[in-house]
Amino acid sequence: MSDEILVERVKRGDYLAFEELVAKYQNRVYGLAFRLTRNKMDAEDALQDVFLRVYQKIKDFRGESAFSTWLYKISLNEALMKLRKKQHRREESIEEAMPKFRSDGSYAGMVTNFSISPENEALKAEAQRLIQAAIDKLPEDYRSVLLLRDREGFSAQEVSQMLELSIPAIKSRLHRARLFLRQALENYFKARKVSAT
Amino acid sequence: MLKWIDRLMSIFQGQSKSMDMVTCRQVIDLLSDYINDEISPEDKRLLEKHFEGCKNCEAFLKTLRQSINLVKDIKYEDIPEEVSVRLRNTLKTRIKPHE
Repeated sequence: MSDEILVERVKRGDYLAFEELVAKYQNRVYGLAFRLTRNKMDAEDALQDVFLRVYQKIKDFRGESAFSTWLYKISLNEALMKLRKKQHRREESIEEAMPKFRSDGSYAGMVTNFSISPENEALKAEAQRLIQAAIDKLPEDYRSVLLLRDREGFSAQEVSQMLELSIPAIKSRLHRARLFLRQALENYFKARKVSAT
Repeated sequence: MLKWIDRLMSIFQGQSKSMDMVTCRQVIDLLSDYINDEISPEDKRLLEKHFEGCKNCEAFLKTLRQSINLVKDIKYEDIPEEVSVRLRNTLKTRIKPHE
């Protein structure tokens, strides 16, 4: 059954339709909340608060955006609220990871290639681990945009609705977040290359 | 989009011989738009011409794509069964009485 139909039924007080929406989205909401908070209890609290809020607010949902966009907006807010209460996370300055250029605009230094081949499962797993660690170090505003665009596959327009930010701001944060992650991987592969020689 | 003023600046600074040349800085600024295919055909042509002669930017593009693919492949934590059960129970307890 489509989200639109389920939402209409929930609005009319159909609790089974609500349970169907919960069953459909609980995994994604929990996954995102856990990725943002990195804490199982916080992710579970956020999950419960998200669906309580969805039920309370569903009458206000007018269908101007997809239900999933609206749900992710609530999920982000709940997960980020849990995160802000703790603030123990060590975020890194994004500026330091930005590429450096000479005064003539040419790239300063040499780019190190990543030797990730599909056959080398161990190295791919290591790169995955590094990417996740780098995501955890991203400032919160950048982390949300990166996950929504590159992991969840939402468009810039959808993410702009969720975060109430302009599309140019979304694009700029996404680009800088990607550069930050690329740099984290390059640092690893550069060090690996040096130690191998 | 590359601004005409940026292109003129690069010419005055002696970095390029024609309007067709762009700097690594300008290319890297546009890489996400290029990867997302949100770039004008003219800028796309300029970037691709730059990649042909710049190994650094070509490698930068490749490694940026690899990083993005790793993000796409991130596995989310599956919801544990007991969390799912607690969710259903909490929702029933807190929602049903108000119906």
